[in-house]
Amino acid sequence: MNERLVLVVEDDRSIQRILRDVFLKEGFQVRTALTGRDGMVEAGSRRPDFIVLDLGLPDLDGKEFLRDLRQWSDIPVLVLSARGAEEEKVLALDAGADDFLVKPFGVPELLARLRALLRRHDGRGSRGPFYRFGQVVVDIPGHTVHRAGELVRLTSVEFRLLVQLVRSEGKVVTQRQLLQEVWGPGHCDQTHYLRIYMAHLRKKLEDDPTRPAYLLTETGVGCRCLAEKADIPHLEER
Amino acid sequence: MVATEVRRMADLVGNLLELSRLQSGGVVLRQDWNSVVELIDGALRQREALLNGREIRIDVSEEVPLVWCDGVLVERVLVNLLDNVARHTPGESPVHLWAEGGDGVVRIGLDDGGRGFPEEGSGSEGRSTGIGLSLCRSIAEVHRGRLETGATPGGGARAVLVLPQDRTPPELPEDPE
Repeated sequence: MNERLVLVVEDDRSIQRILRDVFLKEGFQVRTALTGRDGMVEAGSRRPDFIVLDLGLPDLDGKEFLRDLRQWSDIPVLVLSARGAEEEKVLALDAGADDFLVKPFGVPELLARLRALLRRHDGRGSRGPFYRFGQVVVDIPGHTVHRAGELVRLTSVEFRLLVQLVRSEGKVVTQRQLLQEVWGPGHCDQTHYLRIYMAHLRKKLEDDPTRPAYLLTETGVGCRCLAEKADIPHLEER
Repeated sequence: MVATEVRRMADLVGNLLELSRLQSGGVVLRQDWNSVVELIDGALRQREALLNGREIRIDVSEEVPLVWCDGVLVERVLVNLLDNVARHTPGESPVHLWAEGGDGVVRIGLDDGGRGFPEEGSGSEGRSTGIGLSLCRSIAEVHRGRLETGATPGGGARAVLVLPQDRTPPELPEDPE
């Protein structure tokens, strides 16, 4: 993870300073920008490995920044947002952000999110046929799911939803994206589908469906599954 | 801990802002279908560090229906109630979250082992209430519901968010295994 360059676009100088110190201590190189326009120039000229972007910039809407950036770059972006600004988060994710953190946040969580982002980015282009989380292995081409070596029977919709979630490897997928991909463009308002099917998946795949460890809902935003690509099916315990 | 204090201040300011927006009628509810289990889990995850070490029991049967509400605001109610528990009960005191449906409402409750809430207008014999609980009441009211506070049969404190249940979600499409 050393020698990677991180760009922090944040207008609050105290938060910017904290982030800078944290990243330097972790062995990153750091560039900072106080405005969206400066941030865009830095992103274009320095080509950072990832960007931490505050959504509340003085000169440029964070979503505009993302839309501009995504026209020429797939650099991973973690957005920082205020508590309660769920709508903003959804728009930012739809505009191309990779993940978000709500202020105030803890440093360990920030670093964990970044590591996950970088892992995902490094492996991009080689979308895996197998994913795993906990004791669950998802075999996408084989259309099968095993839990602790036992075959789990899923309906076709349950499987499609699970595939959308595991492929995002821990990243939040918005409700709209999930409804559109799994049920089709005419169903984007049918949020009860998601509530019901997430409950089905948790019941079949989580140890404690009321306190899920992997299939998580971010209220007002979307869902995420803390899955990772797996190289081999890992069915040897069967 | 400085970080804890900063978070507490940020939460207080956030609650105040939200309360003034609610009371001035400046909040547009973003209602959709929400699962009580997911809202409870979301609130617990937000307050994981604060509740560290407590026994947490959740009783929400599969019969509890989905709720048509602003999930972010309702989750905020639960977070504020959890903050209240953390402030007013000993660190090892258990927390019981539950929900039940029926009679046109869904009731989401939180019981703890602390002293009960003061009765309305009775002076302040029990635990103090504050901005957090005022916000909870306002959020309940904009949903045409209410927040009930009182005591559990065992003498602990109980807070119950009562939300109207006057619509049911449409049927699901066919889904073969």
